[in-house]
Amino acid sequence: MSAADSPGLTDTDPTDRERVPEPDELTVLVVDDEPVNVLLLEMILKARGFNVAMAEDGAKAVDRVRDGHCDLVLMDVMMPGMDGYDATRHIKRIEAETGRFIPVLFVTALTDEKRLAECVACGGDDFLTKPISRVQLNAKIDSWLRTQAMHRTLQGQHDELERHQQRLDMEQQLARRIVGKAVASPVLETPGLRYRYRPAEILSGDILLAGCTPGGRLMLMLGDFTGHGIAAAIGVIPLSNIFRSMTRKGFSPAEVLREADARMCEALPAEMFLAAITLELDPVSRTLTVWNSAMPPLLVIGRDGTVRHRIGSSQLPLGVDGAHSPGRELPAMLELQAGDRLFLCSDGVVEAGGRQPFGQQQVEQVLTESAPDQGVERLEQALVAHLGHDLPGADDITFVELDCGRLLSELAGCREADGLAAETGPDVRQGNGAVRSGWARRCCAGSTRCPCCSVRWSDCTVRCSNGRASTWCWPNSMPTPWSTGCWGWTPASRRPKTASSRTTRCARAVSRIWPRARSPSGCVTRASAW
Amino acid sequence: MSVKDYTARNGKELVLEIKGQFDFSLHKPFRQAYRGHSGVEVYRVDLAQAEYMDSSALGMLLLLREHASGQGAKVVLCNCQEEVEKILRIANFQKLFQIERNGVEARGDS
Repeated sequence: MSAADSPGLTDTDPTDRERVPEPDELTVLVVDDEPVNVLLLEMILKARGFNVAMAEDGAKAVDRVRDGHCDLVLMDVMMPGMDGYDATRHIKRIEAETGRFIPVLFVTALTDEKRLAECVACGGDDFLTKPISRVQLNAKIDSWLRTQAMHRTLQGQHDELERHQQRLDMEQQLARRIVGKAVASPVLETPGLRYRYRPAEILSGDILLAGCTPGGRLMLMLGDFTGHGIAAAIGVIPLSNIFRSMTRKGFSPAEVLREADARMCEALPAEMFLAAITLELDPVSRTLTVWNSAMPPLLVIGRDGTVRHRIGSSQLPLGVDGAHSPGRELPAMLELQAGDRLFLCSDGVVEAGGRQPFGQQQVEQVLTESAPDQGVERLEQALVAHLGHDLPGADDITFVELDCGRLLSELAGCREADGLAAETGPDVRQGNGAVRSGWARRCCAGSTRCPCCSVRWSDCTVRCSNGRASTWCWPNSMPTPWSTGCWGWTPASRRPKTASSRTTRCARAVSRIWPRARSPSGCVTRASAW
Repeated sequence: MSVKDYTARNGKELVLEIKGQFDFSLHKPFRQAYRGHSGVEVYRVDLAQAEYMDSSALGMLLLLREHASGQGAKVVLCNCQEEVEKILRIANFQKLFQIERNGVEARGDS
């Protein structure tokens, strides 16, 4: 690394840059075709110790300046060949090219105000009228040398800032590529999953992760780190590592969340956290499970274009408090209906526009009015119209729309293609004697206890015939294999009479987390199956 | 935007009054306001005049919580305006902080 491109180092010492050099370090160029005038000026300048250079016409003056051996020019107006105005225009052009400021002071016998004004109009910095006063000349030279020193300081700072900026941009671009590789997933390209990802800076605090478990479940996480830029991007790497590796191994979102939360509590400073929506789509049971940790509500939009559910935040963000990890809380669950669309976004969407925010209501209006496959485009157009400029605004903006029908059939397709259908569990005999076709999942994905009632899974009696007893099971008293093994929002009247005490405990845990008033009664759609 | 701090109850309570936008610009003054007080048992953040808070403000509250728990003190958020309370609710901060409305404790969902 050379000194020039390392931050904080400059080629000139700043204190040195601001100093006006001593006269003997400076060369003043006198441009005049009259030897008498030149002699007079030379006398005055040499008396102060300046080095003096001379040119008898404009063209020679321009050459001297181009050679770089002059710091200030005293310019006559009328000369044979190139006159003073033209010469000044040339000198100022050289100045712009090199970034060196060379003050040009006209020394003239002209009294016509129009001609004097022209001295400044052509690029000159000041003028002095003959007869020359020694005091005036010295004062003007000193004043312009001070301005020159100031210019040099500014120029130096400007160059330094530019170098810093370039370096920062380069590093951020590199970090962006690293983050891009960390979050990239072919799952994000699945038909039926459409999204917009618009960082406010080169690096985004928003993160969108998607993956498929070996059992064919889709997991998606939309997160929003506090702030944006490098600090936010640093958090993305461990999060995406945990998400990717655990999803690939078939862990449940609850376990991914617990692990990610624990890692973030350990590694991040107290003021940094991650708000996130994590969802799981099961193509077999057609259920949606959502953990909303401090994000805007997830919308479930029905085929008729109305918002069927708003699944709002019910958990703390990740990386705040291990004891309250979102992975330990009860998720919202619902059975999907044909034609359902899901929409999730970061708060940059709802708050776009600052003092006049776009607002949740408008988000919903745009989505409900748009055709099923147009939601993302329509919302983007509406946001651009609201902001009056292209995305993003002041904050990172990310939004995702999932066309469930399409997505589920894609997922089911790849599941069968992978020969994974065999991993479903045994058929389930329901209370009314009917046999429900078997599907299985890792109840709370292999964890030893139910997350809300803490019953050990080893108490389960229904086990998978493939021998992996500890991973494929669900509690004995539950006719339907909920992914959490809990009764969720099942009303008491629909619960089987044989429900054990653990069911009651679960129900209590549920009502503590979802008070009756806020309980999304529509989420109990599974109850109809019993 | 400003932070005003004063002690009450014989120095056992430190009140931090937030005025205007509660955002990143208050990071330094907010930290300075709660540091250097000893013997404080309750940190009371008065949000009566806070019009808005962003995620960095939530981060600052978490920093204060960390600082307070190191001293065995607790943090109380009080007098939130509707907008601010909504933000605290979305983040589910009622699980971490005691939130009081007009001096009365507002029970969280949990």
